[in-house]
Amino acid sequence: MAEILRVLGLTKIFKLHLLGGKEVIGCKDISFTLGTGEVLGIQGPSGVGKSTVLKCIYRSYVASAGQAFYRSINGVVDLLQVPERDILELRRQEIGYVSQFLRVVPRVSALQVVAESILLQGREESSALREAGRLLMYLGIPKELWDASPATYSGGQQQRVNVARAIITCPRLLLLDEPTASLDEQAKQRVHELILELKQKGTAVLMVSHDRASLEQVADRILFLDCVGDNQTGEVTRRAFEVAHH
Amino acid sequence: MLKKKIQSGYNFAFLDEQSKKEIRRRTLKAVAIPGYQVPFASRELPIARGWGTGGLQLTMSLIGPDDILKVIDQGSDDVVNAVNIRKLLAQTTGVRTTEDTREATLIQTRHRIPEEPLEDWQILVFQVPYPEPLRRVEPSEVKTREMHAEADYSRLWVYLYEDIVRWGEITIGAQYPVMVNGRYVMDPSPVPRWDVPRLNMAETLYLFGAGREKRIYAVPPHTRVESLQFSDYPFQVEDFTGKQCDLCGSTDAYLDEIIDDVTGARRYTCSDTAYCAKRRQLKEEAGKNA
Amino acid sequence: MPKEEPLLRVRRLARIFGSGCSKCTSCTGPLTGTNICSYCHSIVACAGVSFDLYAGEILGVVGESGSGKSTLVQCLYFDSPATAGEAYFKAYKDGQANMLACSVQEKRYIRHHLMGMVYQNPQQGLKLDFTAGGNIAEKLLAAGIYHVGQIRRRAAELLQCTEVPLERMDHLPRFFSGGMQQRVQIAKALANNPPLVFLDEVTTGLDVSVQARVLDLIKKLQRKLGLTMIVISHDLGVIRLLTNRVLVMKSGRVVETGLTDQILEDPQHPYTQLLVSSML
Repeated sequence: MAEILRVLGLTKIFKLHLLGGKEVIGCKDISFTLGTGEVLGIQGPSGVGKSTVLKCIYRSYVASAGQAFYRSINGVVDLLQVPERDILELRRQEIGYVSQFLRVVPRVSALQVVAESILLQGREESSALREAGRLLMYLGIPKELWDASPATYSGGQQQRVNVARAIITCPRLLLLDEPTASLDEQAKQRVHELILELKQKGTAVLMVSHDRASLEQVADRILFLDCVGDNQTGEVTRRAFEVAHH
Repeated sequence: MLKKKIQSGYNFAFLDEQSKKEIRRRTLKAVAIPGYQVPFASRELPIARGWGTGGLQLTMSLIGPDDILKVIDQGSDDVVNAVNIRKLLAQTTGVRTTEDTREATLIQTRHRIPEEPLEDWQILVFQVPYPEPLRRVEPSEVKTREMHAEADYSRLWVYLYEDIVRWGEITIGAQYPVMVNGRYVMDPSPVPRWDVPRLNMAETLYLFGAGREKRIYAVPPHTRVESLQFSDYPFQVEDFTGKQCDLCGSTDAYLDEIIDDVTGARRYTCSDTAYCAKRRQLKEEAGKNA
Repeated sequence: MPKEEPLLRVRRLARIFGSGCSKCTSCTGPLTGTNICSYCHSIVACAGVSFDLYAGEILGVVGESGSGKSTLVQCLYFDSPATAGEAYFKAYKDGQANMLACSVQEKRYIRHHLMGMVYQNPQQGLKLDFTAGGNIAEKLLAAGIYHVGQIRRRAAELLQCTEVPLERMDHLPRFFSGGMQQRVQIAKALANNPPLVFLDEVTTGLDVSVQARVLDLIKKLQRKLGLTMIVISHDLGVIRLLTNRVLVMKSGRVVETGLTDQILEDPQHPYTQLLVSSML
């Protein structure tokens, strides 16, 4: 198992100018490694900074300190430092991200939403739509809903669309933020199966979840984020424990 | 016609020498930049502006005692505007005047080029009402000058395109815009399309004067003058197929249509009256000799 | 990553209205919160703007009214002369010459052949008394296509692309709805397949439903034609929908640049934080 991602001392501090420059800690000094075909779960209570870690790696957040070395097809890069243009290219070709909540334009059909990422990779339209349909089918979205916008879907269905659009590209690195949070048992199983299928193909997965059972089913290792309060300064320090299981 | 006595009290050719010199300098510039409109200080004349004062000032600045002058208006020597201008010039210069195109050294014209071929010792002076070919698409003079400077003629082209879309052809009759020397789009004054091809690679110097608009421009001999046209809608001159001059029988001259008020019948006669008269005379002589 | 040259490199672009003085740039900008030089009273519409734009990218420029975002695009499209700065455009002399310093004729060539512009106000981008087809023809004629049949075929193709009914081709845009005028403008901007297209507040002033349709169209065309665009908007929704990267401008300066999602989720500059928090 080759190492694909090495995160060192990742720290994110938000500076809120509208609140007079108040600083809020998102996460502090997080380090871990991830190999190809490995699923690393990130667990911890709400507000502990699990999503922050993912977003910093995906560059939706600007990290305050640390490094995230990623072995891309074209060599090792620090995801926190590479030019924006390269990040866009990596997102298009190599790195998938499933956000906690689906955010889509309410005029685009579910099929289009899912197909979009492979269309951007240059896939021919009819084959992209076929592929998208296959995934939606597998995830249990009834065919008669495919033409509707996912914005009209139930929470669970939206989440499945969200997963589908990220995994359709078979990314080399997949960042999952609570992918099964609002799913029923059967749908959850399907998502797990898809994750494991990707894992088989060599995708490295970073999966945030507060659902221990879920993680235990798919994750090879679990990174446990805990907060150690230091109430006197009003600061919360986050420390990462890595918990190996099995 | 005989040489007439010079009207005393006026300078030769009415204008003072300084004015003539200025106009000649402008004319030289115009010749140097074919198709470019050179501004000049248009003088007051004993004729109202808009009645050929631009052409008149050019003629006045160029004419010498040895010139033989012809003045025509829409092809005719006998129309009031032509007669008045000819009189004014004759009286203030004493030069000989003529109706014969082949004899005149200097011809002032309004809206026509004489039918008979012109040569390199002749100068044709046009009276121009509106010198700006871009005026139909742009009202601002500042903008049109900018457009000329940048050779930005796409809007005029759009005008022609829209004409074709609306009418199936370009409807501009007289004043058909031309490209001079591949650089400036020029208004050839309201000559019929018939005359436009004759500006191209001609032997004669063509000068254009707009008195009210204060512009002089020129097409020197052997200069390319191309009508604006689309490759699938080529420029065409007026079609007189099957028609001929009622008086001289000509089939290869520009014809005026005359409709009889009473009967409504259509007749055609040569627009160039001197040319028509000459042909009739030749025919008559040929008849006599036979 | 394979290194590729940017399509457009802009360096220290400035546009000052007025006489200008040595203190103009130091006494204006986001820190002083003004565009007006307190010494010579010139207006510093934008200054020190530098960025790279790559082929296929969509760059957003966001900021409040008077932040200089439109001026920036007007300078690049030669609607307004830049006071200082350089811009190298790959499509023009292979990006070796500063296009802001080239001759008027060359600028006209670049505008007509290599760039497209869609203005907020259709009156600026369209000749309302030319037909829709005539407006597109203007671009094609400027590029030297003098064949009515060819022009009409291309115009029809473009209007179809921008979802304007073909029977409106020979009508005057004066009588079109705002949304359709905008679509004709887009068709005109794309007439010569320009490598770079500017969109200046294209949906501002349109009804929301019309706005959505125009934005969807732009997105569709961008994907289909691989357009490179600079999108000016004060509307973060438009920016989110269309762009990959964003410049945030305030008082004539770029205060922050970043990936669009980063600017929206984790804005760094106080002004950007205010802007994002003001979103509806």
